[in-house]
Parts: sequence; C-alpha cells; structure tokens
Amino acid sequence: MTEQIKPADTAFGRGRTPLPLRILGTAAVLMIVILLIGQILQFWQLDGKPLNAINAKGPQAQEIQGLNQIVFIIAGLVFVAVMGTVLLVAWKYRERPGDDEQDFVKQTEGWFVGEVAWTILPGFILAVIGVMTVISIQNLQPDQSKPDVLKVKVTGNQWWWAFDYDLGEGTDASAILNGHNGTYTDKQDIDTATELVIPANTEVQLKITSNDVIHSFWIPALNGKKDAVPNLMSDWKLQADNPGVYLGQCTEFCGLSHANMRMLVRALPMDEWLVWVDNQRKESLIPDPSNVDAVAGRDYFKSAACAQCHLIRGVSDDIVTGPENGVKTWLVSGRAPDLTHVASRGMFAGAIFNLHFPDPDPVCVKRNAGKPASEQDRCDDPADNANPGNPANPINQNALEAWLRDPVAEKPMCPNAVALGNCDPEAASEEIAEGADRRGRGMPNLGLTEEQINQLVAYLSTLK
Amino acid sequence: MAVDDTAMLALPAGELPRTDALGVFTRPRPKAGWRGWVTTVDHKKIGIMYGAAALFFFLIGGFEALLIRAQLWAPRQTLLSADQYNQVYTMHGTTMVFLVVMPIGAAFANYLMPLQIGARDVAFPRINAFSFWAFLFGGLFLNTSWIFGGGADGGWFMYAPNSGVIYSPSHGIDFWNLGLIITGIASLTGAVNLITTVINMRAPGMTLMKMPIFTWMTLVTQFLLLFAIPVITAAQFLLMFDRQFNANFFNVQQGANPLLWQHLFWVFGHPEVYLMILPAFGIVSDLLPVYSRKPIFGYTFIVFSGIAIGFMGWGVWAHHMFVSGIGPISVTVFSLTTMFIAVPTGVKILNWTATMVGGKLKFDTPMLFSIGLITMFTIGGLSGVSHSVAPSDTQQTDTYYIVAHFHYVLFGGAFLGFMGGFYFWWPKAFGYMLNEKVGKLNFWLMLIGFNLTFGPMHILGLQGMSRRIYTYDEGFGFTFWNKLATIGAFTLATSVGIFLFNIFYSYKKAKSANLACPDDPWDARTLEWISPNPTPEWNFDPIPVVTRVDDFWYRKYEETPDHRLIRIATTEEVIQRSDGTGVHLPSPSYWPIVTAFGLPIIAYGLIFTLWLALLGGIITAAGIYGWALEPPDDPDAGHGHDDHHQLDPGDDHAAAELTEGQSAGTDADAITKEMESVG
Amino acid sequence: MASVTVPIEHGSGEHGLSGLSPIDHGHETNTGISNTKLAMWLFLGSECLLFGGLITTYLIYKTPLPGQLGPKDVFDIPFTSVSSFVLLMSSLTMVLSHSALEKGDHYRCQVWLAATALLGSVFISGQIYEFTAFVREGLGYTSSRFSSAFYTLTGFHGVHVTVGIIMLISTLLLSVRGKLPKERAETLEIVGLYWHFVDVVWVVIFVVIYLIPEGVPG
Repeated sequence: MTEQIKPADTAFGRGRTPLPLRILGTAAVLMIVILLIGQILQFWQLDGKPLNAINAKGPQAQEIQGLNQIVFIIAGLVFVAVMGTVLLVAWKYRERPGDDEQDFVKQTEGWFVGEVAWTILPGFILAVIGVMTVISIQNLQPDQSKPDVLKVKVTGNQWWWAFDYDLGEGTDASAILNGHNGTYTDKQDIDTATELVIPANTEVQLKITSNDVIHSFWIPALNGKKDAVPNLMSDWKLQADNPGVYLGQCTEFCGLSHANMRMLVRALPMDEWLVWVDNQRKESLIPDPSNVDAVAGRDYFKSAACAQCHLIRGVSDDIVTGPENGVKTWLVSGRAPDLTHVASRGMFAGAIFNLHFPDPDPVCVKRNAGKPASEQDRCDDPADNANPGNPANPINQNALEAWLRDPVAEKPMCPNAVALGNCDPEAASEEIAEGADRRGRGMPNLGLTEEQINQLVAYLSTLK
Repeated sequence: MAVDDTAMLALPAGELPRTDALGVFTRPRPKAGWRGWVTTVDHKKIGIMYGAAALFFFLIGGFEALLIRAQLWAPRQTLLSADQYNQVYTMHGTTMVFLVVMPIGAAFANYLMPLQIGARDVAFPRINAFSFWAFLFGGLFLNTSWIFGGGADGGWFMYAPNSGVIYSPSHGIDFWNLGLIITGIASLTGAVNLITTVINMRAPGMTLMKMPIFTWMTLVTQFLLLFAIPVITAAQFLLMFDRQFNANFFNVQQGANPLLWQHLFWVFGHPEVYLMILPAFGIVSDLLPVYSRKPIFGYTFIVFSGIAIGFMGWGVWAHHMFVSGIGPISVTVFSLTTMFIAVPTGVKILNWTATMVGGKLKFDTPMLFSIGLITMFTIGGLSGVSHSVAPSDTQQTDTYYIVAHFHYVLFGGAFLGFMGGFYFWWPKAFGYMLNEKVGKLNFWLMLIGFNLTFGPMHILGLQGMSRRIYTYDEGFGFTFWNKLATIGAFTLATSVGIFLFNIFYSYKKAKSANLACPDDPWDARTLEWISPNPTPEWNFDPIPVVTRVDDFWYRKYEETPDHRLIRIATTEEVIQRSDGTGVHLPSPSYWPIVTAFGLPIIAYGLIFTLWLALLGGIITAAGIYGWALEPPDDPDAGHGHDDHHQLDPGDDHAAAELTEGQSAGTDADAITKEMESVG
Repeated sequence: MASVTVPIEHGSGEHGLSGLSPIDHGHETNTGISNTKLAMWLFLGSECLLFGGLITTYLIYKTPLPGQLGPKDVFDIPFTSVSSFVLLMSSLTMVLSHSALEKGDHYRCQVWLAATALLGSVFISGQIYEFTAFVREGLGYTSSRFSSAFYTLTGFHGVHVTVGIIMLISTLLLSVRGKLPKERAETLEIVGLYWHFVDVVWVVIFVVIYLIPEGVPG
C-alpha cells in the first residue's frame, strides 16, 4: 500500500536535510539564544544611557520598576518553560531515519482535564499580576490634597515644552509649595520652557496638556509617560530622590521634529531651588551699558521679529503675550519659549542643543581613566547633547549662533506655512504676500546678519 | 423546478446558454490569458490574485522598512529627511497592515475556505471579485500618493489633531484616508460573503464542529471584520469631512476631543490585530497535525479559544490609550481585560505543543515555520502581558519595546504562519512543490533575520528610544543595537528574496523535468486535498459527504481500537478524478472590476476636483447597474432557497425570476457600495 | 450566531452552483436561510456599528461651545416628530406590501410599495426642509462641533433612506412589469429588512438627538 511519490519528492528537494542546512539551523538557534542572553545582560548595564527606563531615580519610577521586574521574571520563567518544552518535544518526537511511515503513533485527540488545567492556571498567575497592577495604578495617581507639593502645568507645543508653575507668595519653601491657587499667571508664578526645575525629594504634581497636537511627557528615570492632549488636562506626578539632571523625550508622534523634542528635569537641593525661584520671578536683566553688543542686541530683539513671538519680561511684554491673555501670534500653538531667563537653562530648542558647556560626563571620565592624554576622549563636548549643559558653565556660543543663523537647518520645522498651505518657504511667502493667513510651526530663518547674530548672542547670554 | 435542467447540465462548463433575462447585457465567456483573470469570479483565482497583490505590496512595504533601517543605521544620518522618514514609516505600517497581512489572510480564506468546507465557490462570486478589485485599486490609489506630493505622514493610527490640514497640509493623509475607506469596503463585502459561505454552504455532513480549524478562524476573523470595519469607516468619514469640507470633529479650536479618534480607531484597531493573527493560528492548527501525524490536540479548545479571542478582542481597545489620559478607572478595567485575553492565547500555544507530544514529527518547511510561529509568538505574547500591566506600559508604550512586541506578533506570529501556509498549499494552488532545501534555507535565514531585527528593539525601547523618531543622537546608547537591527533587516530581506527565488526556481525545475505534482505530498488531513493538484476549476465532482474532522485523512486511514492507524486506501483511490462534466460554474463578469474601478476615481475627485468624483460615481453606478441587469447563466443562480418553484417551464417569468434572484441578492450589496460611494 | 450552532446536516449547499446531480438541486442551505437574506442580516449588523460610531460622536459633541447655536435654539421638535411618524408609518405599509405579495395580490402589493416610497420621500423632504431652515438660522455645517456632528449623523441616515427609496422604486418597477411574482416575495422581504432597519435607526437617532436634553455647556 505504499505510494509512488518518492521520485517527485527527491526532485522537489525533500528527503534528508543536507549538512550545511543543519549547521545553519543549529547556528540560528544558538544565535537567538546568545542574542537573548545578551539582551538580558543589558539590564545591568545602566551607564551612559540617559533615557534608560529601567534605572529608576524616584518613587514613581521605582514603583513601576518593582512591578515590572516581577512581570519580567514571571514572563521569563514562562518563556523558558514554553520554549524549552517546544524544543524538547520537537527533538524527542522527531521522525528518525528508518522509521516506518505507516507505523503510527497513538492518536490522542485531547485530554480534557489537562486542557482545563492549563486554561485556569494562567488565569491564576494573571490574577496575581492583576492585583499588583491595580494597587500600582492607585499609587501612581496624584493625591491633589497632599501638602508640600509643587504644582506645574506642562504644555506641549510643536516642538518644545512649556512649564508654568503655580506657586504661593513668599520666599520660604512651605509658603511657595502650599500657596498654590490654580492659576499659573500670577505675579509670583513662573513660566519657563524646556527645563523643569524642581526641588529634589519633593513631589511634583503635573497638569499635562497641549497647545496643538498630542505630545507625550516622559522622564524615564522619574516616572512613566503621560500624553499631552489638547483640550484635556491630565494629572500626573513625579519626584526625584536626589539632585541631578534627568532627560526626557516626547514619545507621542507630534509631526516633523518629533525626534527633536526633548526636555529635562533639573532637580536642585531645596535651598538652591528657592534661589532659582527668586531669580525667575524677576524681570529680565538689563545688560550693563559697557556691554555694547548686548545693549544693541536688546534693542534689536525688541524691534525685530523675535519679539513678536518670544516673551522677555521687561522687553516684549506689550508685543507678545501667551495665549491665555488673548493675544494670538501667527504660531499655531500661539506660543514660543519664554526667554526672560533663558541663560539660566542648560539647553535650548527643545533640549536638543547645549546652551552651556556640560560638566564632564562621568562615564566618559571613567573610560578615560588610565589612558594617555592623547587617547582620551573629550568628556565635556558641548555638541554631545546627551550630556546636558550646566548653566553655571560658559555659554555654548557656536550652537546659539548656528541656531540664529538658520533654525530650520538645525531642526526640521515648518515656520512659514500659510493657513492651509505647505511648508515650502517660497510658496508660502508668495501666498503670505497675497494676504493669506500665516500659520507657522517653529522658528523661521530671520535672515540675520552676522553682526545681528553676535549682538543677540551677547544679549541672550546675559539673561541669567 | 421546471426549468429543463438536463439540457443545461449536458453542456460543459463555460458553454452555457444565454438567458437574456432583462435583455441588456451578456456575460463574458471564460477566457484564457489576462481576460480570464480580469473577469474571473472563481474564488481560487481571486485568492491567488489576493496573494500576488499582497506579495507585491509586501515588497513595497519591505523596501520602506529597509529605508527606515538604513536611516537608523547610525546617529544623525541624512539618508531621509524628517519629512520623508515620517512618510516612509507611516506608509510602511499602513501597507503592512492593510495591504499585506490582511489580504494574505483574505488570500488563504478565499482559496482554501470553500475547499475546506466542500463548496464549489463562495456565496456571491461576483461580490468576491469586486472585493478583490476594490482592495487592489484602494491599495494602488494609496500608493499613488508618492507621485502626488508624498505619502501620509501621521503614523498608521493617524492620531488627531496631527492628521488635520494645518499639521499635514499635503494630500498624503487624504490618500491614506480615502484609500483605506476603499479597502474597507472591500473587506466588508468580503466579510459578508465569506461568513455567508461558511454558514450556508458546507458540504453534506460538514457540521460546524467538523470544520477544519483554518475555516473556523476564517469565520471568526470575518465576523471581526464585519463589525470592526464600519467603526474605522465612520472615523475616516469624520476625518474626510474635516479635511475636505472643514467640519469640526477634530478641530481643537472648536472644542473637539482628540480622544474621539483614538477610541474609534482602536475599537477597530484591536480586533484588527486579532483578525490579522487568527488566520495564521488557523493555518498552524491545520499544519501541525499533518506533520505530527496525529490529530490536533483538543479541537474544541482550539476552536473555542479562537472564538473567545474574537469576543474578548472587543473589550481591550483602550489598552492602546493607557497614557492618553483616560482616567485611572478605565485604565484599571482595560488593564485587567487585556491580561485575561492572554488565557485563550496561552491555551492555543499549549494545545499546539501537546499536538506534537507523542507524534512522529516530520520537519518539512511548513512544519518549521509552524514551530517558528509558536516560539516567536510566545515572545510577542509575553511582551504583550508586560504591556497589559498599565504602570509598566507607561514606560514601554511608544518606545521601540512596543515596536518589538508587535513585530513579534505580526511577523513572528502572522507572517511566519503565512509562510508555512504558502509552502504547504503551494502544490494545491499551483501544481508544483516549492523546493524543500531552498525552503529550509529560507526558513532559517528568515528566523535569524527576524530575531536580529526585532530582538534588539526590546533593548532599544527599554533604553528609552522613542518610536517614530527619524534619527537619534550619540550618547544615548542606541547605536549598537540599531546597527544590529539594520543588519537583521537586510538578512530578512535576503530571506524574502530566497522565497521569491524558490518560486521561480521550483517552477522552472518542475517544468523542465516535466514533473507531475504529487496529489497528496504531505499525507494531508483536510478536505481540500481530496481534489487533485492543482485544484480543478470545479473544486469537487461530486461534492464529498463529510463524516468527521479530518475527513480526508480518515478516507485513507482507519483507527484501530488501540488508537493506532492502518492504511485502508491509497491516495490514488481517494482523490477525485472526475472531469467536471456537467458542473455549472458561475460565469465571469466584467462588472465587479468596473464597479471597483470607479471608487479610486471618486477618491481622486474628492482630493483634486469634484468633476472627477462625478465621473467615478458614474463609472461605479454603471458598474452596479450592469451588474444588476446582467443575465444569470445558471438555472439555479440566485434562488432564494426556501421559495417554491412553481413557474411554468419556458415562461420567461422563469428567467426573470432568476435574474431577480441574482439582483436581489446582489442588489443589497450593490446598494451598500452605492451608499458607501455616495456617502 | 445562535442560528448557526444548529446546522442542518444535509443539503448540498452552494448558491447558484448546484446541478451536480439531477436529484439534489441544492436549494437548501445549511441553515435554511437563503444566502441573500443572511447576507442582508450580516450587512445590517455591520451598519449598526457604523451608526454606533456616528451616534457616539454626536453624543460627545451635542453640547455647543458657549455662544454657539445649540440643539434647543434650532430644533423644531413637533415638526420632526411628525416626519418621524411618517417614516414609521412607512414600515407598516412595507409590511402590508409584503403580505399582499405573499397572498398573490400584486395590485395591493404595488400600491403599498408606492405608498412606502412616498412616505420615505416625504420624510426626506422634511429633512431637506429642516436642514435649510437650520442653515438659514445660521447653523452651517462648519459652524461648530455640534453642527458638524448633527448634519453628519442625520445626513448619513438620510442617504440610507434615499438608497432605500431607490430600492423600493426599482422593486416597484419590476413588479409593474410583472417580474415580481409571488414566489419572489423574499426579494421584497429583503428590501423590507433594509427599510425596517433604516426606520429603527431613525427611532434611535430621534431619541438621541431630539429627545435627550442637552447637557451643561463646556
């Protein structure tokens, strides 16, 4: 009763698998195993990864990481069990050469008890995970009545973040942290951009929203992410256990420069933070008359297009204010970063360029140790924007000049679009000349001369 | 029934008498060459065309994937600009989901499902043809956006308000939106058709619980489509009205709620995930018993876990929105429902493993791909559990970790299953076998390339690499793993090249050596193998009577009391060898392709000038009326099945009745289409 | 799904493809429901979700922003109630038409069919009148989120009614030409299924739009 299909079989390449293919198969399985082990080992390799999501530095992130570890361990065990079983079964029950095709194994069609068991068992495991999850979701909810918390409104804009603080009057920590009143535009409140400066070891409750499209606020070391949705205020919180700088990245696709929309949290010791608050509340500094370039820069800023979008308190208040005050710029989001104290920040342009020189990167320093000077890497490279600048260091003049020279070349943006037009500057400028509404997203190339650029850089550098 | 059947039946297929019922149009005769394909209503040809079109789009989507990976090879690469990158990744996702994985599922469903239930065709063959052409034209329309100013740039889930005109002024999103409405119409008509077929047209004895599992999963899948597609269609209409007619559904200035789009999208989007993976589950459930040489372990559990996934798939959509601000109670509820959908999925994996236990496993290429699916999908499933834990998800979502997760599900799950299906059913469809040695090379390279590409993405995500970024900076620790992923992607591309090579190489070899295709090369189990290879036009002659699950197998083997098997018949004895004389097949028709052709014209019109839309409307309307007025060629065509045939023989009312039967049947759907196009 | 779990064991099944044996014509489907009718049911099931999506959208957006025209500024509920009544009556005439055909009374069948189409047309005319009145009051399609949602939902329903009227008129023409014999009553029944569905959807829409009071603005 055997069938005569063998010749065709061989012709179609069936039959015993040749050695090279067997080697390839073995190599593939080995490679996958090595890859998996390599990946797992990465969990202990935390240095030099400023956005690492498994390197918790605050209670919220630790809460998540604790839960995550349990899930990973369970998942890992299940994975090893399933994978091991499948491969073992495949190996054990393989057809061996010389086996009679027609000698059949027992034809089992199922085992009801077993199947019920392995339906219920995963259910139990998941129920345990489920309980932990529910508890954790509760823990991550901000308690609005909690005292001594800093309240900040976080607003996403294409492609930078605005931080509006709701502070109490007074200068001591308790008054500032407990005196919030739900508005963000009082005299004692602070508006800033790009860097969220917080006191260490203090809970920060966030109201997250957006002025244009959906963004997502994410500081991996401090907490998970929360989307910034226009017309919606989402509650979230974070806390840094220690002073330091914690980088973040926008994680909801928000258009052209989504990749270039970062932010950072700078946690200061409480006393330093109070000094920072005191400084931020002041109007912008007027440059020393001896600093001729800076004085000229201030005048130019006021008279030129800069002041149409950017607020510098004491300079452009009357020309531009935020959307809350009803003045609408041609920017779609209605808002550009507040520059009143821009030089007190370490980074600019959506935290992708260093405004100041960074401190030497400790990982780099460690790597350099013991090497001869000629082979050492530069550890305070201002172009390394994974190592945020320190406002105490000198200003990174090159980056700021390049930005003023041609922002769109530095970071893809669409500043010239008309009402329903396109991002092509020439086409847009024609339509604008014909009277179309300008609806830009990002900073345009203002066609500044080198002299104007120098003056503006000199002026902005003074805005501590 | 008084119409003279015997005279009709004496005619061979394709030489049918003309019945000029309403006397307007005649139907084309079956032809060889391209006309035969264009006018075909044969589910097998349509299935093959679905597969070919999907592979074509797969090459496009794959090329886009390679561009993405090349761009991310190193920090601050400038191969693609930010704008180009956003278009490429959006079109990659859209193409792979809507134009590759879904239609490959449709290809298998179209080709195999009627064969597995012992039917000669689907319930509405012309609607079936229409579904295919609408899908193809929709897909081509979508891709013509590259010529007309660039592809869509909002990501495949096209979140509002970033999809608005202010934020995306080019026509890319219009093409995306309208193209997917067209493919949605295709899926919807296909779903109605295939569900009707499974429910109503099974061979005698083929009860639901005797159906092959692939057919079961097709049924579940099509139900998911039936209810999921209208939701996304509604959302896409809203987006279209916003973009084309300045409506305010996603206009934030007018108080729009951007989460509306997310809810509508994911109410569709999550069942969508299951309707992409379930056909592959069905394929593997049919393949494993063949190569284990024992029945599927726990048929009932496998079937009901599939149904359970289908139902539970509706209750988990908001897990895509854990971080979007839906509030802690919704997050908790959806977190828990999502966890428990892992239960029926786990049941499938364990039952597949148990199928292999105690078997005598033959590692032919389809089996390798099946085991590949089990193992790779397990990885994707477990990373899915870590997403269902909402707090963990806040760290993982929208990073490369989630990119890794869904590629392990959709490539490691769905696509590996499809590859197994291709190797398994290739002789059934084309009459020659794919070379096994090349096939094994194909499998191993694909497995290596796949793991090399997507494995490192887990790490990238946990290191904080956000998805959808066109570039990254040095100093974040992303470079090494990105390089690895890029190498993997090109390895994967090589393995796809080997698959294409295998198709041509095996064809040439079979042709030059004049090899007869074995009729039952795998010692198969399910009903489709009862007909010779390649499947004859008439599928079955006569229609088989089914007695149990794996009916074909038990025509060859008999179970002894100790649950072992003895051979009772050779393959030659059980394969149908009739020549199909007297089998009536539905005649080809021009109208499905005409009707479908109008749809992209309407869409171009909506984007560029409404006059074009009018032209498209006229073409589609003409197609529908041509369709409705087309004579049937078959005395039984379109009968309602519980009506009473009391007409006089020869009365032209009889003919009218027949026409009406058909047009009533098709009318409803024709009108659906009309409504869609009007709307 | 309830009906499919009890499949009929016998019946060769294929629609329009039988003829494999002179004895069995394959008129029976596995379920006993004809393919066309089953397909219409499935299609209507799918339509429920289309309208579900649109109704949800309306519910979210029914409150206009402060200062914009809202439901209570424009709706003329008595008028719409009358046209709703007209549409509901058309379901009755549809049933009468079908039962007349089943009795073989072609004349009455045609009269009731014509009445159904007429009532449907009256409803559509009412809707057109309502739309123009609203536009005249200043509620354009793009005026607000409420107006966009309102016109879209009722417009979608209007298109469905219009398509239904086209189906009714086509069927009527066939019947007048003598091509709708008693035996084809199922054709009429399927058209009727669609028509009743459109009516039922209107009941839901009418309740949602006109009867549920407007919420607090904002």
